[in-house]
Amino acid sequence: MRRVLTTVAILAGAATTASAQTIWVAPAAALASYQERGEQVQYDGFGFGGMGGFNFGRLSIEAEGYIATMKPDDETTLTDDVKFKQMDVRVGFDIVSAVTVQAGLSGRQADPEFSVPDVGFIRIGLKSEQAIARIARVWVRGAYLIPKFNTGGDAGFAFELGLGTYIGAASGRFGAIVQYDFTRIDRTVNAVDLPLQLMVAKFGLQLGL
Amino acid sequence: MRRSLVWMAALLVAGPAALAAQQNPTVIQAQQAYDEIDYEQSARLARQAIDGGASGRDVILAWQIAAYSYASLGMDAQADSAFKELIFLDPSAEPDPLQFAPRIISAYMNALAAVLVVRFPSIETTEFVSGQGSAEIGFELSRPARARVTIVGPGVDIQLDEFLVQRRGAVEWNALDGSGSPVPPGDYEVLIEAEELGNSSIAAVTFAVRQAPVDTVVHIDRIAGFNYLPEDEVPPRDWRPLGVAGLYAGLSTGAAFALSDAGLGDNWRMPIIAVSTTTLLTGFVMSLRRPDPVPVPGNIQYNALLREQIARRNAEIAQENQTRRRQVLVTIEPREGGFQ
Repeated sequence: MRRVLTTVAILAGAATTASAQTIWVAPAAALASYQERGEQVQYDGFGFGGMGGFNFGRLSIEAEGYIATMKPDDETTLTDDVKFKQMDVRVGFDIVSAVTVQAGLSGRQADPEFSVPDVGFIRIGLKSEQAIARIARVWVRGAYLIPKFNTGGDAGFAFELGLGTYIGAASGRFGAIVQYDFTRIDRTVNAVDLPLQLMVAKFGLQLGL
Repeated sequence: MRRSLVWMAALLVAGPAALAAQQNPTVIQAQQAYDEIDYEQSARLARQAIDGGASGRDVILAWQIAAYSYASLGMDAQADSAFKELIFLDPSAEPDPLQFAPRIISAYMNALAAVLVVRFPSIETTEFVSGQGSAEIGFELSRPARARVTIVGPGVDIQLDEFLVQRRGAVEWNALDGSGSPVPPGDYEVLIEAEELGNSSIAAVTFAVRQAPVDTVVHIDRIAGFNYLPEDEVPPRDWRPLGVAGLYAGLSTGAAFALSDAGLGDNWRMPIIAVSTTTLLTGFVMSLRRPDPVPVPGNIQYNALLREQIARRNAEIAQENQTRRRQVLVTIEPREGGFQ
């Protein structure tokens, strides 16, 4: 939670020194779903977080994070809740109209430790965003991930996909954001496949600064 | 016979008016004698009034009665002398050829040609911007002579012109002083002096000069016949928003479904479907909604040109107003007075 607040504070601080640019923040509710090792580990949970962004010409920076309390699925043998904390940062550069190349870092921690593997990864991908009206825009993004786990293991195929919609004031001062990010990592530990998936949907209220 | 009838008719018309204008009893008697066609008596009484010290309009009328009576009696030398006195006293009082006998007209014209006088001095009532318009000063001379026209007023003494005049003369005055500045408001006189072989005559006309600021031109915010065009227009409604939303939602969600690990269950699908549905609904609503206006480059360019034209014209108006604020609207108004 402290990381999320720190990020939001940094973005808000930047707003005061870069008034000519577009800066926005969006407190959000988060809905998360985590699966690992077949159907043996399945959690669903709800939490809160925030998103924020900063555009400067063709350059953009996006940051988002959340804290969610994940409850084990009834069909599993798990009994204890797990708290997820995740932070994502993406730096983008518009290569052509509506297409941005993005690179970034991400980290997710689970509490209690080792209940699920903590993971950090580097991402490289593309984002396409289109204004479908003056008051609405949609975006889709996809990235290749290079993950690293605290519990060891290697990853083969790893990617994330995202979809989002903004609707609100044309100025960007007030609006609503709905988005999801779906992550799949094909993890292998000691030649045993232990794939994992995470879906996080966020519903936020955007405030432009 | 016909001339006598005309002469009598003229007397009947002019007589009572002349009688009413004078006060001297001898002149009144002379006028009555003249009205009764007793020219000898009217001439005698008129001379008596003149010798007796009649003044003002009375003496002019006495000389007039004397001159007309002498001319009617055929006493040409006396008539000539009386007309000359009359002309000096009132150069503008000439007999009307339609009312008086040719003998009187002829005697008057002979006397007029023999003397030099400035007649009918005038300045027109007018209004103009000093330096841009002018007022006409007119006069007549009884015979060809050199005329000099001078304006005299508060702190102003300007000789307008000096030139030879055959009969009628005219001079334009632009209401500027010698340094080119508008003359101050006040009462002025035009002095018209005529000189010829030692003879001279002078006449004056009094007039007033009033000043007022010149109206400035109002700035414009439009040009007649050229209206601003709308710089944006609403395009026809289309399904592009739904198309884009459908493409993005389909691409992302389809890929997520296709690339997910089927062995990990499907709890994650519902939120993704919810977000995708929201995206599709947004696209659908945006497609049904009135499209946002889009700029029209041609109209924007036209409006820019129009604004440029208006700005240019306003700059010209501002410059013109600067000039106008330095100008003065002068009104020339003749007044009673002056002298011969």
